[in-house]
Amino acid sequence: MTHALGRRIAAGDWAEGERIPDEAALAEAYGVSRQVVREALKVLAAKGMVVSQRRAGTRVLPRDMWSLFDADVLAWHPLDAIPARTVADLLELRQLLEPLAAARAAGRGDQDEIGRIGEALRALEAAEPFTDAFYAADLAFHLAICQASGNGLVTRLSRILMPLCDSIGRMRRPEHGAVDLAARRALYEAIRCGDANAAQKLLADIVDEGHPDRLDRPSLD
Amino acid sequence: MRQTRLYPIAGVHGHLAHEVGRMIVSGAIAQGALLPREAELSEKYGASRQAVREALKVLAAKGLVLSRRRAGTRVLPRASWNIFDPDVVAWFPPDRVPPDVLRDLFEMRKAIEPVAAYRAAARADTVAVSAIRASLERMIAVDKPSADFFEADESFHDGILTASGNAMFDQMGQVFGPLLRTSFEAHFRGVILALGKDDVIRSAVQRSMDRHAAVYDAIARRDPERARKASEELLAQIETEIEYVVKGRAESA
Repeated sequence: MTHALGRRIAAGDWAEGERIPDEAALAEAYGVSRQVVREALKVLAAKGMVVSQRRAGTRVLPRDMWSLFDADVLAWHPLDAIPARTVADLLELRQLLEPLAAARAAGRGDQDEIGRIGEALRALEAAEPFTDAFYAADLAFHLAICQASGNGLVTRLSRILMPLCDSIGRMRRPEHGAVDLAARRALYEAIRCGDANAAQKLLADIVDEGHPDRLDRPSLD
Repeated sequence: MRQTRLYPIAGVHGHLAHEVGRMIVSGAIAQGALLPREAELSEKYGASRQAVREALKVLAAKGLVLSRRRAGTRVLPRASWNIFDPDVVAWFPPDRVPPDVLRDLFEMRKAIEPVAAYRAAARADTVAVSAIRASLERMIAVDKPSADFFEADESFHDGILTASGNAMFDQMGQVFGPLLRTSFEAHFRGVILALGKDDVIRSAVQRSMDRHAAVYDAIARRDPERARKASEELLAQIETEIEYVVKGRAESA
């Protein structure tokens, strides 16, 4: 119920500030108890998407109040409706955080974590380019690097942004050019050998491959 | 200052969510612990079972607890908590934010703030620039480490993230606000302990305000490169002080 309502709100079925149907109407529409509806609305309120007021009912809050850094909220957004602005903003954030993560991972040298980066790399190299397995391995590769950074906030943020990164990663098609696997292999080797500077620079270039200018997205500047 | 969006405390379930949330985050209820049953909680807090259930839903949405039929509700480990949720951050007692969280936060600030300052100088609208100036003026008016000063300091940095025009940076400002303020407090407390003398603290505060003013000036003059550099210098000063405080602590121990 929570997911169904969350998806409808994220898709814009009700406008910002608009009142959504009351508990009784939603319960009937979805064939659930009013209790279930009430709990779902509490979860959506906790994520900043709606506000319930006695008598006034439940209203959709403006989008800038939503917890953008919440995996559910991001996953509820329809894949084809991610604004170009959001893609660019996310890329800018990744451009700052991922090279930091790569440098920290190299400096820290946690062999278990680095092993996981290696596993994702091998899966990526083995996958047929631009298939589900390929996109999944690419995502796992980036997540493993963030995880190996040892920075709990970066790790947490990378997991939260994962659904969005995944959707954007899948916009990448053969016509945008080959994915530079050699650069990813070099990055892994740099982290493994503890070369923080090289790791930082290689990852910055890799993140840049996903720039909106290079995808089917309107350029911003 | 920007309104931090916190879960409404009004009403029985909201009150209960804040109460139990604070106990979990402060460690009064341990990670991995099983919460008392619904019926017990309802009796203890004089709330209906319905209100208890709703409060637990709110905490589950923030990653603090996991409820399973029959097994009951368990407190999740800290790594599962949504540290980007304003309520979760606000529930940390100011003097007990884990040191690794503060270190991780500073590392992220070093990566993001200089670029945010650069962007703000390049594209902020006048409203966003005046908001930064208003925070700086409040810092100057308060002029000594205190709750008002930390709040003004926080809204200065938050203002730069908003002015950057990047919605992701802006969101970070929103969720990190309380944690940032707490980190300033912890920082200045450390500086005071390490330096002791009033005149030395005075000059540390003055230096900090000069550096903040330099960041604002560069943004107001629309000079992105200088804004980036000024922000880097401000953060470098903070880092030096942190090292000094850590060293002082190690020596006095």
